[in-house]
Amino acid sequence: MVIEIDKEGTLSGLTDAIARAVKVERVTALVILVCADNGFTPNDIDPLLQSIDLPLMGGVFPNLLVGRQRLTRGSLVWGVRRPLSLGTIRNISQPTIDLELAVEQALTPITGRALQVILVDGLSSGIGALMNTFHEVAGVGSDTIGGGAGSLDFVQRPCVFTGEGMLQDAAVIATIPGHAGVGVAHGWRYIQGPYRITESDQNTIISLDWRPAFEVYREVVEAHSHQKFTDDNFFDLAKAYPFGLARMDAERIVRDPLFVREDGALVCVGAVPEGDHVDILHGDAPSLIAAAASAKDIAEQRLDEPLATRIFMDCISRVLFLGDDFDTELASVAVDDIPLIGACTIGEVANHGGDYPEFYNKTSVVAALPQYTDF
Amino acid sequence: MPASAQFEMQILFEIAMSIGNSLDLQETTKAGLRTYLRKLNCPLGVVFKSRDGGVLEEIVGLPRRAGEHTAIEEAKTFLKANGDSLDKVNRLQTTSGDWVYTMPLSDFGILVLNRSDRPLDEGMVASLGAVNNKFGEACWACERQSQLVEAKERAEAADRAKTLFLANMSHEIRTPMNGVLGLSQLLLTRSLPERERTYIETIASSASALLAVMDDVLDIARLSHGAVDINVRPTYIAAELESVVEMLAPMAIERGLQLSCRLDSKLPTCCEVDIHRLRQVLMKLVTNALKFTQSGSVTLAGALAWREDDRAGLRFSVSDTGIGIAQTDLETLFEPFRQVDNSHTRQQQGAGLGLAIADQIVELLGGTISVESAPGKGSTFTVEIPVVLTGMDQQALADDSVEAGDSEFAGVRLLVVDDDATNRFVISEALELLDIVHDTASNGREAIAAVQQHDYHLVLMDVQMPDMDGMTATRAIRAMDDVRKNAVPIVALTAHVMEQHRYQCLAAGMNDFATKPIELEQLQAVLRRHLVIDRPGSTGSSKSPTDAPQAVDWTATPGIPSEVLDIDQLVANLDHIDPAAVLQQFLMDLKGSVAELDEACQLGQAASISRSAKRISELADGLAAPTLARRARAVPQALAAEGPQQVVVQAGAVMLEVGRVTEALERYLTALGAPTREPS
Repeated sequence: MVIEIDKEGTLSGLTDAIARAVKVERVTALVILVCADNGFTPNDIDPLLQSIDLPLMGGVFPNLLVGRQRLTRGSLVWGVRRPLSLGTIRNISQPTIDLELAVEQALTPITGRALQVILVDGLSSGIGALMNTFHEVAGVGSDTIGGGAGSLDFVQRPCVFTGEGMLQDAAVIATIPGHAGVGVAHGWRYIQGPYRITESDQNTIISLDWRPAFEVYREVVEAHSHQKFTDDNFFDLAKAYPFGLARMDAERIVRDPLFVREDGALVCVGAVPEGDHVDILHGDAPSLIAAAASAKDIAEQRLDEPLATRIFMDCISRVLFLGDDFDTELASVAVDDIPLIGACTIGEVANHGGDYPEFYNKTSVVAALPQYTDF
Repeated sequence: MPASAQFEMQILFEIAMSIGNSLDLQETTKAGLRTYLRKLNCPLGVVFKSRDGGVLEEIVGLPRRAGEHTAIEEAKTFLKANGDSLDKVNRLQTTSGDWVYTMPLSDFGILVLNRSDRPLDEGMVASLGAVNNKFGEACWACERQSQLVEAKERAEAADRAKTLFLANMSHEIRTPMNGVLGLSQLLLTRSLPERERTYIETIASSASALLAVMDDVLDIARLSHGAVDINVRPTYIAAELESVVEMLAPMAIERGLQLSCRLDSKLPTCCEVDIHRLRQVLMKLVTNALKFTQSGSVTLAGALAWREDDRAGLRFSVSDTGIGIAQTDLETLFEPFRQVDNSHTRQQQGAGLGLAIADQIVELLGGTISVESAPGKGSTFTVEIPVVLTGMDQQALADDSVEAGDSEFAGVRLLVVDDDATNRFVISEALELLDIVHDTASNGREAIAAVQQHDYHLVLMDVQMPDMDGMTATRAIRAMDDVRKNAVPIVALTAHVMEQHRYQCLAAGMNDFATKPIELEQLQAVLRRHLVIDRPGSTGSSKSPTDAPQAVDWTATPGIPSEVLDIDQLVANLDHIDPAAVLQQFLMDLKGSVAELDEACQLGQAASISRSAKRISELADGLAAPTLARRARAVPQALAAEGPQQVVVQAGAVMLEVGRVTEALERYLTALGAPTREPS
């Protein structure tokens, strides 16, 4: 695996990192991850992306992960040495889009197992439908890892990299022949529920048990945390109290409430289907860190062969929640000198082929890549 | 409740709530299956329908090609080998170590779910039974709905075929009947021996009776398809009632009955009504009364029922001293194909459709029909309809009915186009009686050649002809460069009597439409409408096409109902723009869009149908033609609801209304002194 890093987070640093990666023998494609704090705009970066002759994908993320380091500025270039097929899906939240056709066109059918990397605009409201369509079209034969791009100010803007430039409300999917072990865990525990989602609109919970969603949420969170919501502390308090969507024999799907609308609706990362039930969850540093370690262990068990690299996609809200303890979480995954790359994301994508694929929040996702396949 | 039990309840509830939100089988199975997979964390699943003999037909699988997955194949093999396992839950472990569940979906089929890591909790599987039944019943409901839709479509297709058959039969019967009736009438104008005269009169009356039965059958077919339009115009109601009595007086005299007309003094002089349809109703009621009255009298009465500003209700009653109707028969009196006396020995002829037709027409007119009767005490049928009163002065209508003398058509030269020699002969004889010089042509090609060679005042054009039909010939004539040729009035004279044929003729560029067999008086009326005859006091031909547009004299455009063309709104829309040029462009655009709609309907092209209907509605808005706008907007709605094959009725209604709007516009342009032909 070819990894080039620029820790300065400058355009020239990224340009140099790309130049170094493409020079390496057998590099056929690039995965480019950059920190949001680099401040790259489409004007800066589109000409650079358009000048690269190799297929590429990537995105802007709140933080990057390299070994045991969390970068708040910088860029990471992964020179892929396997044949890589790319597809882009634009306007995923537009009601007029034929998602089935778009995903069909974005996916390249291959024989045998494949690693699929999905990077998506993490603030798009069409992610739920995209994941359902992805499952329907792609089937169950692949290992999947990825995450939501974007920045911590939660303002939706172009954040997904393609050879044509940065895109907003889009997803890019890479299919790479080979296999990986994928593990998923979050460590958030039930404190109250269930509440029925009586009205929702894609990623927004409008009412719970026929009451404004925030009214219900506030009662539980304030009682449990002994703190009050004020005009400007919603996210500080909410980051410790995500929602959990129930499913059988598997961890709840976590939904991170981002902000509260004036009408009392709660906007989350990822789909919150009407008719589903949610619990309100809470966690602490030990449970979250243990879950990250568990995700790594599951991934490596599923790989069941010598390990070459770890890809770690961990939710940025875990960084915000854990604070300094996040270093411990990272260390619980980067337990040795085996290379680790990844990002702190706005929502995570994972599937090892045996689950129904989901878009997660506040979750640790680890992919273990094997030595015998040089990614 | 233990937390795990509550959790299960939650999952079951979520699955149950996702089921049955659609009546489409694919949508229902896909949405339900997706929730099963998500909530039970299964990577794949398939819904099968059980067919006879244990055959499983895949309805939907998630993801795609799930049915080909080894785990599902193994489940199918198991079910095939264990036919008695179809109606119970089975848990299998596949060769790859996955878990597969087969679950019965009520009587509909089987749900197969794959779990990769570990089996489902047994309690959960047991609890799923009720949800699975709901899923199966929802699938059944979808399938039943689909069967009902198919049955409805088949029935509608058969109904359309029946209507088409009726229309074709009408044409096939009317063509020879034209010969029979026309020649009978001509013969009756000559001096004949008494016996031969009686024979000919019987032939004529038999042919008329046959034609009347056929018209009834056709009318009921049209009415049941909603293909009858109401066209109101200012009418002197008293004169119309008297004319009904006059027309049926010979029948009354023949039967030794007294037929009278009684008019209430408050009956409005003039009102807006579809007089053609109202006459049809009253004729049927009076004819029926005469048929079923052995002695005594029949009275047609007209009265004002109510009045409110310019709106009023008119009440017409037909009373007889006939045999009367039993109470039990009154209940089914207005149903089609019902006759009070159904015996083989019944005394009166007819298809039993007259009252059903009258009932449906009165409903279309917005009115009501009722009957009071008792056996032996006669019957009174009462019709009440709403009308709009008009202040039109009597002279305006009197001008329309000016009588022409014998030399009325002197100097006129006509072309008669018909492939049928008998028809040509009949029309020729009639024209000779009217002193009209004429030529004949036997197909569209000959007609074009004749028009190129001579200047005609009018062309009577058959529609369906070999070699070249009348509509093609009309389009060719309209495309000629010479204005004396391309402006010649062309009147369709055809045995096609359906409304869409009328429109098709108008859309092809014809000016009017008359049906065969045409009687002498009808022919005269048609010719008067389209021939500009110079006579003292006539104003119609004095205006030059080059006269400058002038302020509109509203009395010059009488009888244009605002529903067809709202002149006030139109003037407001034009906002001081020269109306002549703008409206001619509107006319051209309208005809172009209608031609596009017609073609799109024939080809079943949904997008073109929608586009052209939208364009017509926009043009209608611009023209202030509210009925046309409404009908055009109904087309895309019908298209979305019923598909391109089903919009013929709506499109036909649009085309018919375009004919009316075109006629109204041309009248308006004439009133303005503008030429009404399209610029070449």
